[in-house]
Amino acid sequence: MEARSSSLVATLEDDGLFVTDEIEEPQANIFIRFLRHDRTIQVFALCVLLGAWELCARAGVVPASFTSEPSRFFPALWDQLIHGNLVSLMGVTLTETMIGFALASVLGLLAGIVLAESRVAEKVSRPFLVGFNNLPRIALAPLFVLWFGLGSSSRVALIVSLGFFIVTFNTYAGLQAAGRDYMLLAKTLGVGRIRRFRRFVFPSAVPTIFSGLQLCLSYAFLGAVVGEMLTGNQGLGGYFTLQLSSFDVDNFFAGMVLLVIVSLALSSIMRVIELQLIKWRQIEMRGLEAGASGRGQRGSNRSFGLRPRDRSEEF
Amino acid sequence: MTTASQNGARPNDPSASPVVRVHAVSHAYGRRWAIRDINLEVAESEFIAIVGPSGCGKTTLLNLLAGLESPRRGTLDIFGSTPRTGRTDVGYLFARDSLLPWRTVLGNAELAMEMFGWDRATRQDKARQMLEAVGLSDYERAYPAQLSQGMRQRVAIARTLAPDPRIVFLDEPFSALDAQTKLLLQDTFRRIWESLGSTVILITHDLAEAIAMADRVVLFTRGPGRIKNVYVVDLPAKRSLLSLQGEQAFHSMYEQIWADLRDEVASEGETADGSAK
Ligand SMILES: Nc1ncnc2c1ncn2[C@@H]1O[C@H](COP(=O)(O)OP(=O)(O)OP(=O)(O)O)[C@@H](O)[C@H]1O
Ligand SMILES: [Mg+2]
Repeated sequence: MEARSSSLVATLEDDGLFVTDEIEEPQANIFIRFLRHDRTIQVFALCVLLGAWELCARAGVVPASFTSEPSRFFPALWDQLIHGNLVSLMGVTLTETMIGFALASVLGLLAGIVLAESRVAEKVSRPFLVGFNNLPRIALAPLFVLWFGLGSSSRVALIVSLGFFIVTFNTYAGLQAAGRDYMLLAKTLGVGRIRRFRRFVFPSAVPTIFSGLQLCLSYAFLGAVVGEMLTGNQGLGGYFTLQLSSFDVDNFFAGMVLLVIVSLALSSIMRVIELQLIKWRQIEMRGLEAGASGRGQRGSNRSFGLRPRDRSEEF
Repeated sequence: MTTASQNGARPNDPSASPVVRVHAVSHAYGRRWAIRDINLEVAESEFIAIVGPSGCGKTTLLNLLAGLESPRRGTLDIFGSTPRTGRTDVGYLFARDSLLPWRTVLGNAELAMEMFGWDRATRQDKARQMLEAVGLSDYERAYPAQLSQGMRQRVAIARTLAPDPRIVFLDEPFSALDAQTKLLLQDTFRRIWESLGSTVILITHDLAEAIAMADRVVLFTRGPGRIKNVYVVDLPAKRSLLSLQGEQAFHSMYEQIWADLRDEVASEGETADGSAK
């Protein structure tokens, strides 16, 4: 049907389209290419940050006894990992985080689906949900300790109370966004309710649900550490309290670095899963993200600043 | 050369029993009529085109025929029964392509058959065949976002025709296409139709398209739409759309219908002016 088939060279790209060798990707100069390479910039920025920190501490701009410095907290981290019990503490915090995250995600997903599918449930529970969501739930942490004791379960409860609403609202918002055209199509094809949900409604909500899950994960780490700091004897939070009470900022920052690394690793795993599941979304938004660094022409699209995944906590 | 009849019955073929029957149908949204007193009968394997000014109720009629809504007045039947959704022998192509962005081109072409519960091998086969017919074989693994508007429309055509429907409703399927692609695709569609032998009701804004493709052209008045006239297209059943431009019959037909259509469009302009005063 189209003249272009004649110029096709048989290479199938991973995005499902044939490409030709006749067209070369535009080559920018080395500086621009460097800037486009996200990883390189990230590593570079990290080095700058650590370097500046070290320099400021050494030059006495900031007191190293309060802020520590990379040349001290990295060895401290190593030391704590090998000789101390940082690994097992991290294990405790990570376990609480994962259990809390899993519970919050599953419950939030279910609640979001019920809200989106049932008019009555939505009408009745909306004010309660909004009300609960507006409570400063971190302040409930002592209450959870009273209810669930000093052990891990009080932290899990805190995490669930933080993450549940985020996942619920994102799921609900995503499910609401399913287009009228798709619903009409499903109706014409005589698709039943469950099938319509699985094939037409849910897939369009997946991007929004994932941004909720990412946020939920951050809050899970927050809940675990804050909860531990409160009771002060377990996990990474307990470790932080202990190190600060003895003014050992090197060990304190060593723990922080470990926490950052672990949470980053988990986020990245989720991101990889997300990219696999919603490849279509990536393709759809190609060249439209803020400061897109994809391939092909960009130019004027850059200023769009579209951030379609920022939908957290809307109802 | 051409005959025009007031009502829907096909004058030159009274023996054929109609597969689509629209009897005294009126429909309203809220308290405003969208269509009034529509009578139309479509014979098996007939190709009908409906033209009329924007907002005259063409889509409304298709929605009624597809069973998406029930008429306020009158009756419709398809193969002798009231229209309902989910019929595997009826295909409905909306004016908007409504492709699912998370499915590949192949996945979208398979969609209707999948919902009808066909097995995977059969539906992939049929989907590939249809994609080939609309010239999108190379794109079966692409996502809708990677396609042009016209290509998306072609995927939607493939999705609609793949389950071999016996009746096809098309709401402006070619409107997003450039002139050349349009002509090619109209030709392709007519050839597919000739081999399938299904009954087609095509809505279009393009009078030339209506005449070139259909056996009969139904002209609606401006909204609330009534049938103003029905024209039997006096062109050979096997026609090449690419050579029609040279045919005298085509042009005289066009002149005749356009004169009537222009009256409707023009009087619409007058009411618009009138209400503004
Ligand atoms: N869902 C709806 N709710 C209310 N009014 C509607 C709805 N759908 C259509 N209408 C009204 O019905 C009338 C006919 O609409 P319809 O979509 O059938 O027109 P159309 O002939 O298909 O027009 P076009 O050629 O522009 O697509 C219009 O006046 C429109 O305002
Ligand atoms: Mg319409």
